[in-house]
Parts: sequence; structure tokens; C-alpha cells
Amino acid sequence: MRFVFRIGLILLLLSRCAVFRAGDELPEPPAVAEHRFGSVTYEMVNWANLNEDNQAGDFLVTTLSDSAEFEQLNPGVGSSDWFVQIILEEYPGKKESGAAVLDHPVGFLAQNVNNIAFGQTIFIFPIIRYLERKITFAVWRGGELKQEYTYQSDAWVIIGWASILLAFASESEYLRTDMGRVARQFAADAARDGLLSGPAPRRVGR
Amino acid sequence: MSFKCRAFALIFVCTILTGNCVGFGEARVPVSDSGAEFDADAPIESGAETNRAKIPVSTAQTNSAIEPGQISEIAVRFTAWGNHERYIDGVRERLILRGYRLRETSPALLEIVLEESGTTPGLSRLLNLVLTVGSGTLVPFYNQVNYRISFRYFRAGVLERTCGYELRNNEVIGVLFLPFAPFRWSTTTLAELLAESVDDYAYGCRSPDDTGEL
Repeated sequence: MRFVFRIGLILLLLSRCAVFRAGDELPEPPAVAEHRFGSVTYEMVNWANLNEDNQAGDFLVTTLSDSAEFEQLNPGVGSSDWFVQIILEEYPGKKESGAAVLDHPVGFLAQNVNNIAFGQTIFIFPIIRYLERKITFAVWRGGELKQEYTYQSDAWVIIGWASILLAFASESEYLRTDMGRVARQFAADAARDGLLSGPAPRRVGR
Repeated sequence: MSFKCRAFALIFVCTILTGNCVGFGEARVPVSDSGAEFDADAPIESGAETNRAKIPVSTAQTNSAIEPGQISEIAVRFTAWGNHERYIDGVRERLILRGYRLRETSPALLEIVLEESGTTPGLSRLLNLVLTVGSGTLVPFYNQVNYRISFRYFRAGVLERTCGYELRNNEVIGVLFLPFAPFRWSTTTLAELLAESVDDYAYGCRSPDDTGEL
């Protein structure tokens, strides 16, 4: 019983991981607070993975609606007017090991060696993972794809005893807050390209 | 180094080098869906009468691009397949096999969305990993990969029909499954599941258990 309790305690401790941003801090996108967008329907695709992703997705939408003035910003699928698909393309990366072996054999091997080192050193050697997050905004109007924007938001994750030592330096909020940067960047890019606004589209076939 | 340790080390090396991931798949219709309806709709190319009945009258009048009774052409778009680009060509071929004509510029759009929807909880994965590594992969590592595939039919940007399936690929990684690895690699399983779901969609969004032809 004590053994089970100890194992449980260890696993609980280890389930907290340290997060670090990958690459340099990117400059803050220009503000478009006074810009006025039309009525937009948006859809979140592939965000229902994990709880933290849902939070990140919610944060993205909240930031998007705050960063500029929208006539309407409603969730929905398809629209004869502006329709934005917010797609999470890559995260948490290759879940399927069978595909990972074929696509990145060296990476898969390194991951396995990492796992074995983690197990054999009683979690002293940490599990190190690179999270590759790719967010695509597909902007549609009346069934026509106008523009696609892709943004990258990568991070390093460290699991093990080291994560407790690194807890003070961990940017745990990064996974969520960087989505705000992505949303503001998209708003700035859409305003620059003159998307998400303008007169109502002409009816096709009349 | 004792004999036992050496045996474990050998098993490790074998398993890691081959990385044998055996997959067993299953597919089912999602019980409920948020927002979109799951009508058992006729495919686009078969039976213009049943097709037209489902489309709202106003849309049917304004749409002149696809004549009723003709075999329609559709544009296909793959959304959120970033991790699964290897399967796109197979799905496209399967659609053509089932009688769809694909044309980039068609106003009718079939969007195929592949979403990842969770796996085994992180804590049990970690425990499983420790057991697998500790036993030299004699205790297999179980990796459940859940997907949800949705077929959505848009016309002039408006969603008309949607049909979805939940797919599950049960991956097991371990030395005991080495003999099965050449025949049941887990990517084969997912490719089969995707092809089956295309078939089910083409036969009027039928249930995966139903194998009879319409």
C-alpha cells in the first residue's frame, strides 16, 4: 500500500512539466484597435485535444475579439459572408508512433533513448520534448478561399525531477499567452490586406 | 553484466531499431455532435431527387452550377491534415473510385476534416512507459490514438450536409508483437480506417457496421 502511495506521489509530482519558449521573443504586432471589421463567422478546428489547448483556443478568440472592433464575431460553420477557420495543424505533434517511425526515424530513436534514460536514472535525466504548434487562419468569403495565414508557436517541455528545479524559471503561461500574440498578429495582417471588411458579397447565380 | 541484463538490452535494441508499432483499428459513428446535424444523406452523385429534397428550396433555386440529374463535380479540401499528409493521396483516390469527380474550380466544396481527439490519460501513459522500459518491452506500450473525420459539403460557402465518424487506432509496441509488425503496421490500419470511412460516406453516410451496398 505504501509502495502504491509513493508511486502515486512521484507520478503526481512528475505530471507537472516545465515549459520554455523556443526561439527568440517575437516583436509585438501593431495594434489595430480602431480598425473596424465586418461580421465574421469563425470556427475552431482540431482544438479539442487537451484541456490546456482548449484554454489556449479560448484565449485566442478572446484576444481576437478584443484586439479589433468587429460588427459581429460568432462561432459557426460556413457562411455566405466572411468565414474564418482557425486550424491547429500540428500539436502535440506525431501522436502515432507508427507514422513517427517512418517520417522521422532519427527523432523517434532519440525519443526512445530519452525515454529509456528517463526510466533507468529514476527520472533524474528528464524527458525533453519539442512542441511544434502551427496555427493556420483560412479566410473564406462566399465559398472562395481568399487568404491563408500560418503562424508558428513552438515550445520546449521538460518532464522529470528537473521540472521541479526549473519551476521558478518555467514559462507555464507561455502556451496560453502566446496564442494572444498569434491572434493580434492575424488581426494586424488581415487589416493590412483589407480582409474581413468591405461591402456584402454579390449573390452568385442571380 | 548478467545474462538477464544482456537479454533485456538485446530486446531493447531489437524493439527500438524496428520500432514495431502494431495497430488494430475500429470506427464508429459519433453519438452526438455540437452544432451540426448528422443526417443520413444521399451521396452527391447518386439520386438527384433525394438530394434535392434535402436542400432548402431557396438554395436549390439560386444554385445553377450543378444541374439536377447530372453527375456533379466537386472541389476537395483537406483541413487539419498537417500531421497526416501521407494519407491524402489515398483518400483522394478512394473518392475517385467511389464515383466522385474532382475539380479544383467547382463551386461545390467537400471539406474533409481530420481532428485528433485525445488519447489515454498522461498519468497512465507515464506508468505504462515505466513498466515497458523496466520490463524490456515485454509489457507492451499501449498507445490509443483517436480521430474524428468529418465530411462537410459546402455550396457557395454555406454548409449543406455533414457526416462524421470517430476512428480509433490501438497501437501496441512491444517485442511480443514483432511477428505481426510487417502485416499490421499502424499506418496501414489508419489508411484502412480512412478508406472505410470514405466508403461509408459515399454510401449515404451509413453506419460503419453496415456493409451492404445501397
